[in-house]
Amino acid sequence: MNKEDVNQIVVSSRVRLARNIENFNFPCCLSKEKGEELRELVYKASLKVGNFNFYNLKNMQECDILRFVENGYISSDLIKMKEIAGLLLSPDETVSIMINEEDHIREQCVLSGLNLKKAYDIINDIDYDLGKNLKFSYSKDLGFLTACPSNLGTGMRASAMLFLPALCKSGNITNVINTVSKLGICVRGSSGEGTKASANLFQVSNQNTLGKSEKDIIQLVESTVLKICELEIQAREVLLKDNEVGLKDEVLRAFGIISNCYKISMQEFYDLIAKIKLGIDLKLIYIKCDEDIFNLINMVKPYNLMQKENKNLNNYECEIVRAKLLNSYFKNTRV
Amino acid sequence: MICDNCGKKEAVFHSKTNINGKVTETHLCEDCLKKSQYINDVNNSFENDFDFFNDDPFFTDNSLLGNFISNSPYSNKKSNLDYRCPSCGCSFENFSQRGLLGCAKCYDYFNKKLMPIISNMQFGTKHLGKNYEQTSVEETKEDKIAELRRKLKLAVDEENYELASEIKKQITSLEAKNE
Ligand SMILES: [Zn+2]
Ligand SMILES: [Zn+2]
Repeated sequence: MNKEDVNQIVVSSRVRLARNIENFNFPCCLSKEKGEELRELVYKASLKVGNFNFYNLKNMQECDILRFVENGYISSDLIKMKEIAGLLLSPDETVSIMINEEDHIREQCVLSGLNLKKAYDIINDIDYDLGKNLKFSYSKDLGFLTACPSNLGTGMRASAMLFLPALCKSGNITNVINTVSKLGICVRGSSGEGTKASANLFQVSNQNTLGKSEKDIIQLVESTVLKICELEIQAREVLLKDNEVGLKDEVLRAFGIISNCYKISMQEFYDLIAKIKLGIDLKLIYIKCDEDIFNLINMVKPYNLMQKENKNLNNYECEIVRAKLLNSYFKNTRV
Repeated sequence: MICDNCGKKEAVFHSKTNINGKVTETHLCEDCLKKSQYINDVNNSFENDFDFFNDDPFFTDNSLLGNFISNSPYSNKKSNLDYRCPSCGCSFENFSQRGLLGCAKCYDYFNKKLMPIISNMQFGTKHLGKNYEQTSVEETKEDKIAELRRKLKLAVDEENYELASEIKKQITSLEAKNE
């Protein structure tokens, strides 16, 4: 299995750390005044740590907040805490720090491909500097103390987003999920639990945070990811051997629709983009584009479209604008 | 019950929310409900597309805490005494309901009840990860200088020479101290 194969399957890697600050209640029990004080405290500390753009959610436009959710910089849970919530975002947008979500601080780094170690190094450096300028809640026995005991200890969730179309098609994805869950690994489809997943994307992450070191957790997630990649590659070979003609037909039809539709929903887009991406990976279709085709996913989400168009759009208008963007993106890309 | 917002129509939506420890009751009629909740608004106008808000794979972090709690021997027994964490005022029942503790001190206060739950849901009950000691309170001169040198390097990298010369001055004055 070479690196190129792996990076076709592993779309992105993410490491996040949960931290809380001493002498403040956890956000769920924090008064507005104390919450605002904490947001200010974290912002001031961040000035000594690095160059971040700071956002006070209370002062943000709704459409900008929702676009940040679409892009994965913040969770939708952070919106519920709007009054006291904040965000620190690195200029290259790979590092984001949520303030007053479930925990006082959620630091995360997202990189493309299988890059968990590097993502951890980056976020660990930031955590080290933040921890010098803030007093984290920590005990020798339980590690970093978090609002939910499921994040105790390292406070770390290491995850990779995997594109698994062949395992979905063969139905083996359910076995894979059941098998790895016994190893302390959690697999979630992008449409909630189980096997239904938008664009056949799955998040693979560690289930536990206490009782193992950060290094061991990263190692566990990475080795599991590589195992799943191997299974996906085998499933792709079988798929190709069994029905290359059918597969190629499906890919080209998807390409036809995405380049010619007049309106398109997110759900249909997910279905088509998954087929096209698989077609590219299996060299059934040749498309010339400068970036990874999955970068399109965020670009065609509603609030990203509205920002691009610089106006509010209803669902129907979104579908038309999305189709237009996709038509022009795929125009003349086939070679 | 009449709607809190317009005071005219019959309320169809009743909710108790606990925001930052403050419990608020809300009763709204159908029309006001549609107008009120901003995320609901969004969901209504984009019914088909907005599943991914709740299901974004990157943010479905929260564990299946509910399972662990309901399996714990404490779940159905109502404690005779209403113990509350002296620091944040939360009871263990508060934790069982929302899955979140109120403050870091809750871990000491509810230790006996929490440990079986923690041992059930985690690899173990002993932290083996990164050590943390806060050092900045008693920062030594060397630490300060090292920190300034780091910032100096950043400033130079960013070609912010004004800031760089300011930092250089600070380093020189620190080094001159007590020597
Ligand atoms: Zn009303
Ligand atoms: Zn407490």
